[in-house]
Order: sequence, then structure tokens, then C-alpha cells
Amino acid sequence: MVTAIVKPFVLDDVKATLEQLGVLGMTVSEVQGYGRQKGHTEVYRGAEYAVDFVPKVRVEVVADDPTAEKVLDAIAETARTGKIGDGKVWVTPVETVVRVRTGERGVDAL
Amino acid sequence: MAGAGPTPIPPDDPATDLLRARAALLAPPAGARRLAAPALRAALVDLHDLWLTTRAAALGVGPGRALVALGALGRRELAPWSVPDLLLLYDADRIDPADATRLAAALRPGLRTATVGGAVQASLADLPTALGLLDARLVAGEADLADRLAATARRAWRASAPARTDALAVLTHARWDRAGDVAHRVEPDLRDGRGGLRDLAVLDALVVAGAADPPSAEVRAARRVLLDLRTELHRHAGCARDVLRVDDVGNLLDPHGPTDHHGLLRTIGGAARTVVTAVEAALRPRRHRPRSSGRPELGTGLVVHAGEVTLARGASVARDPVLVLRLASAAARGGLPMSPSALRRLAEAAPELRAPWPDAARAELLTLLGAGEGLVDVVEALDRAGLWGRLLPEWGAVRDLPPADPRHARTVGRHLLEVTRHAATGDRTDRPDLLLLAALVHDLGRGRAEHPARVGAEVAGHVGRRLGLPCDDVATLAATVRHQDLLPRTARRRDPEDPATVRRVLDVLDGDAVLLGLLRALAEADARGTAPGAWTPWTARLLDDLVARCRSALPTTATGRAPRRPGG
Repeated sequence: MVTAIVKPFVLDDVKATLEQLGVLGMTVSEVQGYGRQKGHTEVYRGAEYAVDFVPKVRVEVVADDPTAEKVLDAIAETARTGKIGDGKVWVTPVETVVRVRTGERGVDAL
Repeated sequence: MAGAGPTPIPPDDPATDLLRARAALLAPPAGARRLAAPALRAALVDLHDLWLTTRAAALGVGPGRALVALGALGRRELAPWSVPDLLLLYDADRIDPADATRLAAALRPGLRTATVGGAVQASLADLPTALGLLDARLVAGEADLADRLAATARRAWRASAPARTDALAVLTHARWDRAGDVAHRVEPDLRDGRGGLRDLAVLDALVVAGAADPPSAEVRAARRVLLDLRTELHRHAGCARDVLRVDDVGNLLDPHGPTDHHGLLRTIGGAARTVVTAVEAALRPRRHRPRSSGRPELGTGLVVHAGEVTLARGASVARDPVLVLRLASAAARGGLPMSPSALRRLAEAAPELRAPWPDAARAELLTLLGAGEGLVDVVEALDRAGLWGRLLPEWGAVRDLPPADPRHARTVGRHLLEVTRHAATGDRTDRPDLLLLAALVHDLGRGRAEHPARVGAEVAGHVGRRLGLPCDDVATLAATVRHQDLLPRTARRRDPEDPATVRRVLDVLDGDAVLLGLLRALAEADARGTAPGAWTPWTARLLDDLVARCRSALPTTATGRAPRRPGG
């Protein structure tokens, strides 16, 4: 499974890129966090507020091994702005997958 | 209308023949006539009565015993998948309770048994039971037993109702809180929702108790509409589902009735509003007791009487065009209902507010819009009386309009009121008055072929001028509506760290800090008014980051136009 934490505004581009790769399904969730950037500060009505957690989106794609590498590269390429906070992409093994509707398992369920 | 697929019938079910006959009624064989909703209900009642009579006779339901239908079957309003509510009555002087229990179990597993006295005693302890017994109707067995139950239950209800109507109101409001408004939900609950069929049962009970007038022709028509829709919904869904989903709409349209989603919601909304008006009027005197024995003045022409805001003697109904707004804002402020008779008098005799509105009218409108929780019920009541549409003629286009966005749970009209309610609680703008107005009008451009925000901005401009706002404020109001999606869209789709993003936002807003604050506040109120969970800390941080960057990029003197006193 490929998991990516990226900036919210790159989501549309990531979706378009993955569609071009033939990846039709993904799970997207709104998350908050920080990495090296350690958040930032925000000024509102003259007062400065520390914003520890920064809004990000988490994209999860379950793919077979050859596709997973392509997905990883495509997301990393598309989400890169070159600035701090661009996010992370990683791949984790998945034991098995079942398509709930049909009961198909493994690669057939992808 | 398409029927659902045949439902499998268990072969060992004692009611197999009943289920087969019902299936044939719901999905008649090719060439057979498809029954209209009222005829289908009548046929279902006859079918159940026949089956139950036959089975009762076979099992020996004779003297000293009576099989009684309650609820929908008792009222002859059975929907296709309603579970009939039944009671086996017995006379304890002649029948052993254990025999009655065995007989009931043979008739239907779980079927309740009771003596007349026991059933009435239970009704005194449980309101739903009391209401159910009012519909008692003999199906089989000894008629005298069933007649005694019906008469005794009615007598007991009439005697106890004055002391129980408050509890009935509490129960009804709890159900409304759970099921929502039939008139405003995109997916209304036709049975349990506010203005649905259960409310008609409550109204029937209050009529029996002498606490309400017999249903008017409008209420009777509303009952037919709701019953027919529920019947068709069951027939289409193939199960006892009473929530009409968006997916069902295409199957419930009728060449002789509503032909589109908006038309269907308009029909449902009209019926539900009629029911709500009747049931609220019947429950109200007991829910809102006078807070004092006097008649305190609320302002010119208004008093509180019997827990309602109403017109004072000598109120200048025919000469005071602001009176309706004073009444509404006083009611919303005080969390009190408006007297239906006052609304009727105003609807008949109040003069139109001429454009541009005087300052006093605008101030009362803003007080009403800023009332928070009290706003929705008051505007609903004004709307039912035909007064809200006179104040805001554009309302008719969105009153029952289904939203284009599936995340919305309510009609566009109700969404606008919810957003206004949430706008009243925020403090993120220097112009709370314009925020309230923008919240009220921001989706008035929906439901037309053109771009909603563009049309909405034009409509907002018309409304602003009619309300007598200064030109600058009219422009700000229109711009707020025009650019209502700018911040959420930009925050999600563009890099906020990119100076070009900030420049673009400020260019669109012409560097107006007031407008920026209004858009931030409207975005929050809009999301909060859309659905629970639509506004999250995630969304807030995303928007606040963009807004903070925009504010930082503004020249220190560029604070937009000077803040104006709300209502000015």
C-alpha cells in the first residue's frame, strides 16, 4: 500500500497523475501534522498564534508490487514544490485484500 | 414508477399465503392493473383483515376474545411494508389468561394479550400506547369487547389528556430532534419527521381530547399526500423504509403530480408545513405557559400573551409596515412563538414595506437574523403565513429547492437560515450586519441555469438596495456573495505559500480587508450550516493560514472601508 502525506493543494494533480497510471481507486483523508517544518506561526488581530499542526491530506492507494513503485514515484514527483512541508510517501506490505462486494481476494480484488 | 424486485417468501412461514397475496398486489402480473396508492392501501387493509379473520376463526377466536387492529391497520392506513399492530383482547371472567397467551402465540409470535382494563391501565402509563388504542378496530372475535376497549380508551384519554399534553409535546419534540423536518430535509422522514404522519396521529389524539379542532380540508389533503408518498416509497423500496432518499425520487415522480425533484420536495414541504402548523397550534398552549399574568409591552403594538408574542390592542396593523418585523424579531429574541392570529391579521392587513426600507425596518431584520436559535422557527412561521415571501420575494425560488451538492442535508432555503444562524455566533468580521445579510442571501442564485454565485451577486445587490443599504455596503454584500467560494477553493487548490496565490486573492477582492473578513466568516458559517462535520479544525487552519497571509500582504493602512455600525 502506498501512503502519501502531501499538501492539500496538490491533491487534484496527484489524482490526475494516478488516473493516468490507471489507478482508479484511492482513499483520501484530511489530516494534520508536522515534520521538519515544525508548524508555523499565524498572526490574527495583532496576536501571534503558534500553529503546531499543519493541514495535510493523506492519500492511500493499494496496488500490486510493480504498480506500487510507479505510484510512489508519481506522487513524489507531482507533490514536489521544493519547499519545506512537501510531505512523505511510503510503501507498506499488505497481507491480503478482499473486494467486499464479490469476495475476490488478492490481486483480483485490486 | 418502477417496483422493487420480488421479495423471497419463506416457505415455512404461516403467513405465506398472505405474503404471496401482498407480493401480487405490489407487483401485479403483466396485464393486471397497477393500483394507485389509496387503492393499494385499501386492498392491503382488506387483505390483512381477511387473512386475520380467517386465521382467527380457524384458531377459535370467539366469545370472550377479540383480535383488535391498532395504529395504521386500525386507521386503515396500512402502507405496503408496515407491520400491523395487533392486540388480542380477552375477558378474564371467561377466558384463562394462559389460554389467551397460547392463542396469541398461534396467531402471531409476540402478539400481545390484554384485558380491556389492563390495556387502558397500560395506556395511562405510556403515551404511545394511549395514542395507539385510539385507533382500535375490531378484526375478529367478540365485537362487544373491542367496542368496550375503544370507548374506555377514549374516555380515559379525554380525562387524562389535559395533564399529559405537556408530556406529549416533549415526546413529539424529541422525535422531531431525531428525525428532522420533513419540509427541509433533502431526504425527509415521512413518518417520524416534523410534519410527518406521526404528527397527524398526535393531532388526531388532540382532536379526540378536545384540545384541537377537527382537521381542516388542508390538513386532510396533506394527510393524503404524505400517505400516498409513503405508500409509493414502500412499494418502490420493497421494505418498510420511511426516509425518502434522493435515489428514490425518479421512481416517485408522477405524470399527474410532481415531475421533478424540486416539485416533489415542494409538494412534500407544502404538506408538511400544513401539518406542522396544525400540530404546533394544538400543542402550543400547553408548551408555552404565560410567564406572567400581565401583558408586558415589547415595543409599539406588541405584547406577550399566553406565551406567545402577539399584537396589542390598538396595534396599527394596516398602517405600520414594520410591525411584522418587530413581531418577528421580538419572538426570535425571546424564544417565543408568534401568535397565529397575529400572523393572520398581518397577512391580511399589513401594508407592503416600500423600497428602500426605512432604518427601523432594516434594524429589526438584522435583530431577527442575529437571533441565533430563535431565527429558524420564526422565519418558518412567517413563511407559512405568507409574510416572509413578501419581505424577501426571492425566497420562493429556493424554499424547497434541493441542493446541487450531495453533502447538503437540507433544502437551499433551510440551508440559508442555518447559515444565518451560525453567522450570528461568529466574531470574525467587523461587519456582522453584512455577514448576516450575506448568509441569508448567499445561495439565492441557486436553481438557475447561470453561475449561481454570479446570479446570487446580482440578487444580493437587488436585496441590498431594497433594504436601503448605502451603495458601498450594497457593493460589499454583492461581492461577498459573488466570491463566497474564493477562500475555500483557493486554500484547497493553490499553494498558500506562493506569493502569487495571495496576490490573486487580494486582486479579486480589490485589497478590501473587510471583504476578506466577511468571506472568512461566511465560509465558516456556510460549512457549519451545511452538515455536521463540514467545518473541522483542519478546514479552519487551512483557511486561516491563507487569510493570515493575505492580511500580512495588505498595506498596514488598508483595512478596507471603515466599519459601519450594524444596521446603519
